[in-house]
Amino acid sequence: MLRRLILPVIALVLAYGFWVSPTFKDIAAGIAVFLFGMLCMEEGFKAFSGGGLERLLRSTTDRTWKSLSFGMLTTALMQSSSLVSVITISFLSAGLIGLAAGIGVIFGANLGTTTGAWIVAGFGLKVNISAYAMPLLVFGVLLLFQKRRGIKGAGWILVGLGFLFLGIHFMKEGFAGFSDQLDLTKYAVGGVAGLLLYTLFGAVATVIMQSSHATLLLIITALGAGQITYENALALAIGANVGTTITAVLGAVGAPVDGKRLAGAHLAFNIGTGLIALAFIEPFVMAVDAVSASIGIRPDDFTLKLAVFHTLFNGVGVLVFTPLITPMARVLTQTLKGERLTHDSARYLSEVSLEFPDVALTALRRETHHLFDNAFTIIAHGVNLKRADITAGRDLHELLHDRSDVIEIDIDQQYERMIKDIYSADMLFFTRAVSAKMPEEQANKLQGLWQANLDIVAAIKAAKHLRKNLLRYSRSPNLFIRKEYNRLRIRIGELLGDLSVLRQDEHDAVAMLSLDEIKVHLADSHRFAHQVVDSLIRDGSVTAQMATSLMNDSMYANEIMAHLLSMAEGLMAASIEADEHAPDLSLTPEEVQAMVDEMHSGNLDVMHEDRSQ
Amino acid sequence: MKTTKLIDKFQKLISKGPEETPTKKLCKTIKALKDKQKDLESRLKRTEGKHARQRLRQKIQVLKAQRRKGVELYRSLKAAVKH
Repeated sequence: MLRRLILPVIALVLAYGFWVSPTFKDIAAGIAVFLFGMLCMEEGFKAFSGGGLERLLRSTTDRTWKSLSFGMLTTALMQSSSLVSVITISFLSAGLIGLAAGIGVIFGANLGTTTGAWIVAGFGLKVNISAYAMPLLVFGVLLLFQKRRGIKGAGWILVGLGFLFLGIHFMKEGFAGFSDQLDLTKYAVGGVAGLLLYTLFGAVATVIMQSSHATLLLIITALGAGQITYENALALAIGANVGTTITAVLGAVGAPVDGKRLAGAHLAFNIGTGLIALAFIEPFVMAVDAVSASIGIRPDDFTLKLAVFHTLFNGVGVLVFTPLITPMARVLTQTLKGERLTHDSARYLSEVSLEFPDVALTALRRETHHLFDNAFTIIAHGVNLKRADITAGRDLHELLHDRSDVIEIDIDQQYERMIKDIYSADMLFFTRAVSAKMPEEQANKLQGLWQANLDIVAAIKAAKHLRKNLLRYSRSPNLFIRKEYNRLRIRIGELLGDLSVLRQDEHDAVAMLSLDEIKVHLADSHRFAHQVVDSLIRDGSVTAQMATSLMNDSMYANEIMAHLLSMAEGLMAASIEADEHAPDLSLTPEEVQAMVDEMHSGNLDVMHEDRSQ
Repeated sequence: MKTTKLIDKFQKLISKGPEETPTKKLCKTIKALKDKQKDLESRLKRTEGKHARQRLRQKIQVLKAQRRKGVELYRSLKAAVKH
């Protein structure tokens, strides 16, 4: 109810303000244009998020100092800590970075955001900034009409910068006009009460505007126009820092557990830093005076001194909290746990991942691997094979003659518990990802992953059909039929083993080409099995009923293997770069067949020695 | 040098930057396949199990075929660049 009322109340207050004061209109328009500029810049930077992002992130966040620098530099460059937070949560949810690295990035972003105060105080208020805004807007719009994604992105950034500058100009003008009508310094409150009151104002203003950057701009322009006192401006700046955390916490409510943990670290950092700044305000003010004097800032240049203060207290926060990153990550992981579910669910997909094509692709790839992991166990147990036997590289041919040990499994129930939720989440994620604008290369890879998901589910369904007769005949007293069913089990087990080994390899062109050998092996085994079935029927070693069951079940086994192979191709294709030559070097179906023919014609007879045992 | 060729070279410089050329990438892949083949051949010498040996031989055959295709592609790419 309260939430529903907030927007109309704010709109009414604003409308009343516009009616009674034209200068208030200028200030509010300045904030709106500034925020719009930030949105444009975010849009522009998103255009550059495709390609190599994963690699860049891995190499820039493997150490604490690197993740701090990454957060600081990206925020300074993009002038938006909220965009950096969103990117970090999406990376974290997709499993691209760990929690400690994510916390490092967020701490760095807090320091990076202080550059905004320097830009506004040092540049925005000192020069006629609107003179720069106009050419930026013109060039930006010109680039926006271009087709290439990168150029378009640069256009958005220029337009964003133009609007940022224009917003600063409007606010400066607004406050200049405001000072002729009203002197807000009459409402200044001194002492501890003032400190606490204005900290609260700063926090509330940031929650309303959803941007500490905009609040800081408001504070600096008001301070520059002499509408607020320096002491109250310091408290407002502390409040802005606390307020931005509330925005992050609200944003994390519906986020996955990783997002909640990161918001927890953000909250601890900003509240902790805010408390330090409030408790040691006097020493901070003295330190600001000393630093300002040493770098040549005039004692009465309060806007630049505010920028010094903002940098100083955030810097102290980073110094205090950086050694605590690892214990903080540990405590957050222990206290904020994901829901315990009886059904396995998606681990890497999140709303924020959809914002960046590369992250969306990585998230879906990892989730498909997760789905395959679960399917691996179901299919292996479905053919009475233990997962450990397959992954440990045991020679499965030892099982050829034995009566198989039955592994109890209800495939339908396991499908409901281990597959269905992940599969549904993957499909929903895919649909939403492709409906957003994304480069063709990533869209094609996503399509491949979608197919891989379908293949996994189809393989499980085929395993369910196969299991019915397999349970009966792999324990049959008839050695011939038992051997053939065991052969089906072995072929499926070998394929699962091969695919799990491939997964451990680097996802490069060579790994993708390894699938060719699996194809040759499968085609060879298939032809061999076919010949054996023919001879068994001819010799009367199996009954007609057994023979038809075997033929049907061979088809199910082939179906399982074909789907698993297709799944592996989709997963591999999503991992390699578009200009790799793997597809050109890969064997065509005709070449695979020719190789199998060669094996059977005797050129590679040695390979089939004693195979019919 | 013709203007179109100059623009073409400039575009390549902008779009590709210091990245590897397609032929270099292909060379790298062929070299990796050769290394893998050598590794499998040495494993074949040490392996005794019938099925394991059979799989290794199969893998080696496939690698040889892929390398052959790679060399052919490399030659055609080189010829295209010359023309």
